[in-house]
Amino acid sequence: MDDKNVKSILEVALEEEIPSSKINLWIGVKERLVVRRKIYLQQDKKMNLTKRYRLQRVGVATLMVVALLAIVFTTPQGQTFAQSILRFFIRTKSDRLPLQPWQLTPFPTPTIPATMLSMTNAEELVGFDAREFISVPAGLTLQGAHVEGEVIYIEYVSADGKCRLTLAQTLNGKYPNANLWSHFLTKDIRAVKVSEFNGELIYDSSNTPPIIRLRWQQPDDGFPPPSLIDSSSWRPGYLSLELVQSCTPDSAGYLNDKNLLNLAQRTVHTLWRDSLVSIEQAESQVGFGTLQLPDDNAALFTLVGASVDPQYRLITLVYYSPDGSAVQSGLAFTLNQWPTTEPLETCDLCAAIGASAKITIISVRDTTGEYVEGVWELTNTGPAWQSYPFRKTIRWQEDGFWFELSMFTSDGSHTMEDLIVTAENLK
Amino acid sequence: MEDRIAISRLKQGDLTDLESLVNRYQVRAVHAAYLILYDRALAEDVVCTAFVKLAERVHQYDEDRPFVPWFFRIVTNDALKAARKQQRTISLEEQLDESTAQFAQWLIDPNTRPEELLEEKETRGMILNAIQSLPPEQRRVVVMRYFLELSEAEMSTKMDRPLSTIKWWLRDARRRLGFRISSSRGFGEDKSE
Repeated sequence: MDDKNVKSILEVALEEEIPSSKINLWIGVKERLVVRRKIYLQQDKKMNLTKRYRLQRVGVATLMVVALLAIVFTTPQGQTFAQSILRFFIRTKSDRLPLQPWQLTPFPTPTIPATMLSMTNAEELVGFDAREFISVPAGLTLQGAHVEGEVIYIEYVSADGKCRLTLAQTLNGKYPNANLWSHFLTKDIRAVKVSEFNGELIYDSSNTPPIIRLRWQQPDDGFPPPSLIDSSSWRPGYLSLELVQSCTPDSAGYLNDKNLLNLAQRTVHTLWRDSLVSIEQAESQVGFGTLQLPDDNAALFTLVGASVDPQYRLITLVYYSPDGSAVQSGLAFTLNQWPTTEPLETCDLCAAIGASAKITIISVRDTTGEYVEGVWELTNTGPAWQSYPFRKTIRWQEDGFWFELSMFTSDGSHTMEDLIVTAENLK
Repeated sequence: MEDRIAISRLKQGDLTDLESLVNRYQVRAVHAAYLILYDRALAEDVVCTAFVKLAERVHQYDEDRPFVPWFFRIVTNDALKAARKQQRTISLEEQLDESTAQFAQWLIDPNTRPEELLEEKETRGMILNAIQSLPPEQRRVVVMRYFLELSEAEMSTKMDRPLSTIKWWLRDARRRLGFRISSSRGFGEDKSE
């Protein structure tokens, strides 16, 4: 007996069990398609109703914007959201949204001397969002910034005028003052760590008073940002920074390399990253267990930590490439999980995508999800959708939870399949 | 060719040809799902869902590849999931009658020729019982191998498992049936090992 015989025997047996003439699934299939489409439409309608009554508070801490664009949903412009049948994203009618209220409100800025530029003006000149300290170092005052070529210099001075601190940086370029550093003797340069990033430190005695120079490279901003909207100002690549301290000998901060390193750390860590906790701590706050990447994936990703948005019982896990080489590879991802009893959009632009965004329906973890590529870029005229390949996102629903997995690489080399495989590996 | 035209239209959002696909594959799909689930209503439910998924996921389907294995992978995957929930596997300790045991013997050793024993309606029912006695995962590989007639290599691709795993699953399915033979007939060694 060969396989063909087995098949025919099985066919006969099955025909006796369930006669072909009794199988007619088309009506059932058609009804299900109609029902599912109705569900999509109802979900979309519910989302829009929710938006009208929600006002997200905007939190700004020196450089980080925790932005929520409530006006998008409470103004006529908010009605531009399309009634699409997407399940996990909301397509807007345009790739551009109006200027947001928090964008209109200037941050408190010190009086800038005439020779200095405001941070905003300086950043416009260099074309990127410069890193500042999370808070101005105690005893120092921000004087302002100036620009030379592609380098932005942010100047701080102590109240007694005895110490100056300069934070210089370029995006995707050479170190500031690279020529000067090339004249230093290698033996005089000390290898240091600024957070997980390699840096170099030197006492430069050629100046009067002598100064300390510290330089390092790091991912350009809030890497990776925790949500779609927060990633709007994210750029691929890296920042090359130099922190220069110049104090007179009678100053308390004179030649204090330890303080300088501590200060440098404060340009690395963002508010959201500093608030990361362990998965166990996060789970206890939200009251449910989260999917996570098993340890056998450690060769590709390392857990950095978890954070919680208690308003929506949303838990975020952050993973980096394990070698800490995010500067070079940029490989990282975030996983958001929150109950489906909470709204799909946990912040006003978190589920919104531009009109031109391409949505791909995907199969993930035995269910249907959606894939999108791009971010909202914050511009002076309002958020603009950009289909950057550097950030790719999938969303799906599973066992009563929404999931969003966003992956980043600095060159956009990761693929939709990479996201799906990562999602499939979650346990 | 008809499948390709239907798929192309589906990709353009035209559901007209979905009905033709349903009519063409529903019987085979329900039978395959039934072999895993042993519950007609559930099998039809799974297949209905599979056709809905087909409509929703058609953009993921590569038209250069054959449609049937792709679609039946959805069917067998979903049937397996449903079967796990059902946990309706019959205890392996349950005794088989001799006819079923002989079919199981063939699964272990295809050189035996028990087909003359398989012509009776009653015996065919026993074959279904023999497959039902397997765990859902092994029912699935038996369905794919002997009902859908996928090669071990194709199964390896479709199930995203190494060929060695497929071979092991099939061998284990045979071994389990062999265990039942020895239970029902007092046979000794499992010949598949």
